Amino acid sequence: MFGLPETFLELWFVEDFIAAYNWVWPLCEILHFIGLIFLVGIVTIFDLRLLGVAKSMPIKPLRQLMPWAVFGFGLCVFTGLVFVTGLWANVKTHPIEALVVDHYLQLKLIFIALAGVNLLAFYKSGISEAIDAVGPGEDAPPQAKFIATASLVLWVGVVYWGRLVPWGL
Amino acid sequence: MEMLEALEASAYAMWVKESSTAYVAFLAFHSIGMAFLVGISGATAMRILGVARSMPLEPMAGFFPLMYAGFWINAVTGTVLLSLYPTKFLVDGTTYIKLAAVAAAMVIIVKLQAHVFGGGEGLDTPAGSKKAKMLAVALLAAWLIATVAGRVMAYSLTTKLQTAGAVLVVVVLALTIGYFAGRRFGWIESS
Repeated sequence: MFGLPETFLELWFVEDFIAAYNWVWPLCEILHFIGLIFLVGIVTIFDLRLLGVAKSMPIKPLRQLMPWAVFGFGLCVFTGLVFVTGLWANVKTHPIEALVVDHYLQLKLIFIALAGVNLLAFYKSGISEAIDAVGPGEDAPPQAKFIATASLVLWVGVVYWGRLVPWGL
Repeated sequence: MEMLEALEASAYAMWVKESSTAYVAFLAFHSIGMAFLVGISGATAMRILGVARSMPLEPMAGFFPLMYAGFWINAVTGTVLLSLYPTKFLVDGTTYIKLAAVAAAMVIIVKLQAHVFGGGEGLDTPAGSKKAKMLAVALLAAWLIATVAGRVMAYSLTTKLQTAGAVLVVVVLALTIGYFAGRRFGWIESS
């Protein structure tokens, strides 16, 4: 497929580890869920404030929660890579095959990429700095609200399509 | 058992199981509800424990309607998912561990809300702060148990026990590393 070897993205030591210990896969599933709770929970709080929920909350201090959202994202990426590189050991499907046939996985990856572009727009457009001045009871600028809406839709979409991935194989 | 078998084979259960979208949609919304419920209550608990100290706590109450919406999404989707395979899940002790952990978490949330946000003692006195922190730790522990139990329900008893042991090791390691790193970099106040 795509001229790539069938074993593209497979790592033998991850497959061996998963095959040797039954607890590795469910442990990674649990850590993946914990990661998504950190990531989506905190991003939701931030986005909702930008949209006008809990308006008595100043925006700048909310940023202190963001390292935990990044931690959650890191946990999801790490465990996600374990799922991909060790997929053969669990479901006897090559990762490259999963990328081609699993439409839910494709949608999840597209939504993650779009969320990344949205985040880039948030930082590069200057909105990120502008919202620090939004104090208690004040409204965020319309551009920030647009980015927050896109972020909410995209991250909830990532969770939705992500949960469906096993059914697309 | 006959009643459970009848429920499992009912037209409604068969429709959801055989539908290409309904069953997976219930599963997916269960995850979304979990992210809202555990994410918002967990962030509040972390704030009480000292994370993001300059963030005012009182306005967090503004996010609670979505937290409760997450609970109701999960109550509905969880009941539907449970009713599809009652002969499997209702005879599995893991189900009851999960339900007990969720019930405990919701009771703690209500207590925490009354204590910190509802005109209770709050965090202003040492005793009030200690009580709030104990409730916050209990809440995070209850959510961890509920998440682990919910995820391992699909596996055999041996795998469940092994996974629970592995989670325990990971949590102890993370807390130990977090504690020493927190002291080293000043994230944790020395008392």
